Amino acid sequence: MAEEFRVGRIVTLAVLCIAVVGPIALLVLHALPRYPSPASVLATDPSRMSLLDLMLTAALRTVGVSAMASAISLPSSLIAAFGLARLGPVALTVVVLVLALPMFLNVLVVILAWLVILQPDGAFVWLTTVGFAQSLLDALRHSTLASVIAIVNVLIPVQTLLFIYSIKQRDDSLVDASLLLGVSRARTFWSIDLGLLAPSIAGVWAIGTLITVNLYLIPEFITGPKLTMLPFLIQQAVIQKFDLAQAARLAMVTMVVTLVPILLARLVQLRLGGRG
Amino acid sequence: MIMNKVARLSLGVVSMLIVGFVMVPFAVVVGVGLDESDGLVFPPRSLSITSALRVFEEQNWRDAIVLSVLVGLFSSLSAVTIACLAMLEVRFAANAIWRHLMRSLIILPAFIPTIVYAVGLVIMKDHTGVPAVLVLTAGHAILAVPITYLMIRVGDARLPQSMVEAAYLLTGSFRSVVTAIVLPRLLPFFGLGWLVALAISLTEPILAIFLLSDGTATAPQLAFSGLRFRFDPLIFSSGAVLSLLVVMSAVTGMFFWIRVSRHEA
Repeated sequence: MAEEFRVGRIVTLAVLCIAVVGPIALLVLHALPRYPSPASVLATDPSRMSLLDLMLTAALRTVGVSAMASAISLPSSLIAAFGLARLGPVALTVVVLVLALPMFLNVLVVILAWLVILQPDGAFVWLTTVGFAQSLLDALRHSTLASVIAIVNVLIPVQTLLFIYSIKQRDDSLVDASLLLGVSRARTFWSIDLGLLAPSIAGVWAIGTLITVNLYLIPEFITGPKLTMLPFLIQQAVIQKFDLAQAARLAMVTMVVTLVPILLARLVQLRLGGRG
Repeated sequence: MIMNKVARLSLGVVSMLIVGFVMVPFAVVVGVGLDESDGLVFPPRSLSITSALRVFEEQNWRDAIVLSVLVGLFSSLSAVTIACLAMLEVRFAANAIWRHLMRSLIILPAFIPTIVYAVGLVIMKDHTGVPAVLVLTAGHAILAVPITYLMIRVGDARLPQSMVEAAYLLTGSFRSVVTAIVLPRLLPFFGLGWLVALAISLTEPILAIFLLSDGTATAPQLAFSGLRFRFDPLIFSSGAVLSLLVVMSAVTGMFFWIRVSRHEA
């Protein structure tokens, strides 16, 4: 049967190789041959030390922000998933739709909304008249916390949908068996409900960090230069400096940075003995 | 027992609060975008679709939205075609290596940060001289391919293998099986995948920022360019227009889903 599909196979493989593997291969070729070791760079051009410092700082910040935001959104997503997974099919479809909307509108809408919310004397100034502390809005403005909250806002729908999927895959008879054997509801929840989800939690956290790397515009617009992430340095290298070699090098570092949480999650999943 | 009910009720309330928190940005942007006054007012004093449509009165915004829709249409159709071909390969290929290779290639873009892929596309555009809009369309298609493929696979998994085998035994033609059984049964899932791919393309800013100039920008790209300099109410109008387009896609998607459910019932 498959032989009749030979043309389709060749076309699909060709398209995927050209459009997926091609750009990444070109990127690697562009970055690696010219990539000198940090020591040689400093020996030949001490002024580049600041660039390396900047890259290292941004890389650490990227790892920190993405790991933190993903970890912060996990409990809310889990609670929401446990609550929503109990709904009937029609209500669940509507909720999935409601969660899917912000998922697609994420970056632009979240940035616009938070800029309005945090704008001094802006659209949300009425909050102060109903007892909402002005000082809280002032403290949030241009803070790291504001960006993290905005990123969490984007991550929750994705993580909730993934958790709902995992909960739906679970065998409910295990919970029933545990309760019939006289195990308390709390212990059953801890050992069965959360225990079975543990590999998924690691996987969903890793996916959250990966998504956060793509949300680098949020910290840039909401907090400003003090929270510049690695991808924004890439954008500057391409758009402002037209330096594709530097952009390619930074992109390689970004790839490594995003691989770390994925590998960590995979290790945790292997230790827990689940696929996640 | 009462504790259980209280716990369930609390869980339900907290879940709804979290869903509400997720919807806040959406409500703010649509509210501000549809407000009739010129300033950034929330809650809106009077809602009107005409205030969102002001965005079409400006030439650069009109061009940007038209370009976004065109790129979205072509990239989403390409994504569905690639995902469909990959699904057929995964379903029918006799060789397991081919199946694994295809599955890995089709899911790979989900694990590459968009920014890294964007730099790769810029280098490719510079090397090949392909027009930026074409590269952007291909890039959006590839970004949407993993999720489109997964949606089509959901439908494919519901298609009984015995039905496909029986059809092949009766017709003896792979082409007949695909055109008469597989593709028609998966049509709603193609629709869903297409809508998701369209929504991804309509709202994706990073590839456009890297590949296009401000003169030939897509709507999200123009919004980000504008945000750097000032608070333009038209940015919110465009945000509201894009949001409404995605809502329309989502509602149509729900229609497809209900059709699938009814069909299966």
